[in-house]
Amino acid sequence: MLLKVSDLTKEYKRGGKSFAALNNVNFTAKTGEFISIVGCSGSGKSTLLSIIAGLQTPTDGEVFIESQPLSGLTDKEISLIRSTKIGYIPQGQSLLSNLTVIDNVCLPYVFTHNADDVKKRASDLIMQLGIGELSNCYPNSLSGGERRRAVIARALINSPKIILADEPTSDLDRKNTKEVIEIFKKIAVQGTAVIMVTHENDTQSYSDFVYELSEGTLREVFGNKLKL
Amino acid sequence: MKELGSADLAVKNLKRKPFRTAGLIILVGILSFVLFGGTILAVNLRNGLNSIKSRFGADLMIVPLGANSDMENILIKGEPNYFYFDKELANGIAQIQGVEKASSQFFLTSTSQDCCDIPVQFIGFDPNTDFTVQPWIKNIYEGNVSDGALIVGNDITVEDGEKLKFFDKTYPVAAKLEETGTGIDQTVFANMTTLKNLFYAAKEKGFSFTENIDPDNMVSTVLVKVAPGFEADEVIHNIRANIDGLQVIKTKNMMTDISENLGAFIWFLYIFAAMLLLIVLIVLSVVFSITVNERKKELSVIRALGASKRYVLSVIFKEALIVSISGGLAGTILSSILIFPFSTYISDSIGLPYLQPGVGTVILILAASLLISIAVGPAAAINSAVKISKSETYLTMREEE
Ligand SMILES: Nc1ncnc2c1ncn2[C@@H]1O[C@H](COP(=O)(O)OP(=O)(O)OP(=O)(O)O)[C@@H](O)[C@H]1O
Ligand SMILES: [Mg+2]
Repeated sequence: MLLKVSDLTKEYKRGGKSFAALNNVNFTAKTGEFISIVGCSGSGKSTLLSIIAGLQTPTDGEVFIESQPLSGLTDKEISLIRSTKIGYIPQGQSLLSNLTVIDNVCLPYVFTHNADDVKKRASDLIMQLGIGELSNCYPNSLSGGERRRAVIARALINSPKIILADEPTSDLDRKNTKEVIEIFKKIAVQGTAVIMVTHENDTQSYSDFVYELSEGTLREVFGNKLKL
Repeated sequence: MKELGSADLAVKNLKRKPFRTAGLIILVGILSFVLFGGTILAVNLRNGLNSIKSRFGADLMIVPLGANSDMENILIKGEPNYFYFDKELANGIAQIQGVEKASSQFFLTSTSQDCCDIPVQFIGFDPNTDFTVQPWIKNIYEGNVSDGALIVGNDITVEDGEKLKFFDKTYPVAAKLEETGTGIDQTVFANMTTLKNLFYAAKEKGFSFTENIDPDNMVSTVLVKVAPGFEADEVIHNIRANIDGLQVIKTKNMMTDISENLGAFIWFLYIFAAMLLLIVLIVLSVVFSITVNERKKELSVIRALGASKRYVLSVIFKEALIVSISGGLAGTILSSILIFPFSTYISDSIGLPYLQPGVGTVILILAASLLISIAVGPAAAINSAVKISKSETYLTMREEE
């Protein structure tokens, strides 16, 4: 199993009282699957993704990536898994403003490698995502849709097995939303698990599975079992 | 873009906020300037005081009434001067109870006019009774100082070979004294015979100060060594009881004055430096923690893309280090540029004995003040680093916090 989330619970403290942002969450993802997690604001979507990526530790439960439990690993080991196996698309604008598009795209690679090896691949990705001419521009001069594409290219640079996308279409118009979704669809088909979090509901048409997250509880609302 | 080490990112971050960065660097610069410059200053002054203590073999100095500050200025600041009193008064001093040794000296000054090479203080000593100048000269000069020969202080440059010209006559320079950081460095010593020659040469040139002065019957000061078993104050009392119209300077008091001045100065300096250190630490840690807060989002993005906590921390520490190293170096270099070439000017304007320590000591002070200034950066960043490594909350990528 590529990804297994097992009995995940995360409690936060607020004003002295603790509450569960995630409550006993279970799901799995296989290579090639496109999974949507729908939920309204505050339902725990970002919390779930950051725990899967090992950025936060769960209060209870376990995340397995390729059967490897994350608990018990050092920060360095988890960081390595995150950089090699996961492409994370954070919520909101997440390009570094003092780096050009191509340098932003190379970022996940150059923490550990020499960037010269990856420039060609970064250019190719940027081309494929249709922003080839913006390669050397700074993020400030890009539109919302163009930034999204740059961030997607960045998430793909290390050829990850899992893409975690946190509301990647939230600030896009309908045309751009459709295009971005199609990119994800293509990425999934090429052999990556895409887990996309969104608060929009019309995700059934392109998802293999749709889950709904509501006040920390995950529930499957659609499963295209035929695809399995 | 080569491999994006944490240092590259640190540099990029610092460059993006040039004014803030420059401000922090200047702050650390001021600190290291004060630490290095101040310590060097303090050490030089203390050094000067020690040298003066070991040089002045006399317990008491007897001068004409009102000439006490002139005497101090000659010895401490190197301001040439002269004053005289009747030799007859001086002769009685050696017989006063409690006086072990007494030796008179005769003062003269040269001018910067074209008759003389340089303006200096002349001190003529009596080779028969002298107990202060000759023992010291022995360190550097074998045998007695012959008639006509000059022993010059360390600051006096002898350009024309081994000779100096005063009142249109040249005199051989027999030796140069070691540096003392006091007025003695600008003084020329000679025996009384030579001094008389100098005096008459000056008189011949028509210098007005020679009027009414007879070097055979007048002296400028009498130096006294107190006999064992006597208190200096006792002897002063005895002198005052026997002789009128003279002023007795207690060398120790003069030293104590200097010591007190110096002690207060050094104390002030250290308090100032400590306060500055504290202020710089506080300002830096506040600014660093604001910076880290501002960049929470960006740091969390980097984390999400695979950077370890260690990487993020090293970005923070390297930024701090770059700031403190640049500031530390700049401040130290600036204060070296100001202190070393202008040491004469500084010593003149402070008016205290000032003597540069050896290279080893300077290097030690340099290393210590650099180390402290450089440590300030990382020390100020600890707070932010701890905050970051403890919290995982910022990794939730909330847009605003
Ligand atoms: N570090 C934290 N400390 C305390 N509470 C938190 C923390 N992070 C998130 N929360 C709370 O946990 C709940 C889930 O937050 P989360 O960010 O996962 O929601 P979300 O579904 O991503 O919301 P959105 O759609 O607005 O992004 C919210 O009520 C949020 O306020
Ligand atoms: Mg969210």
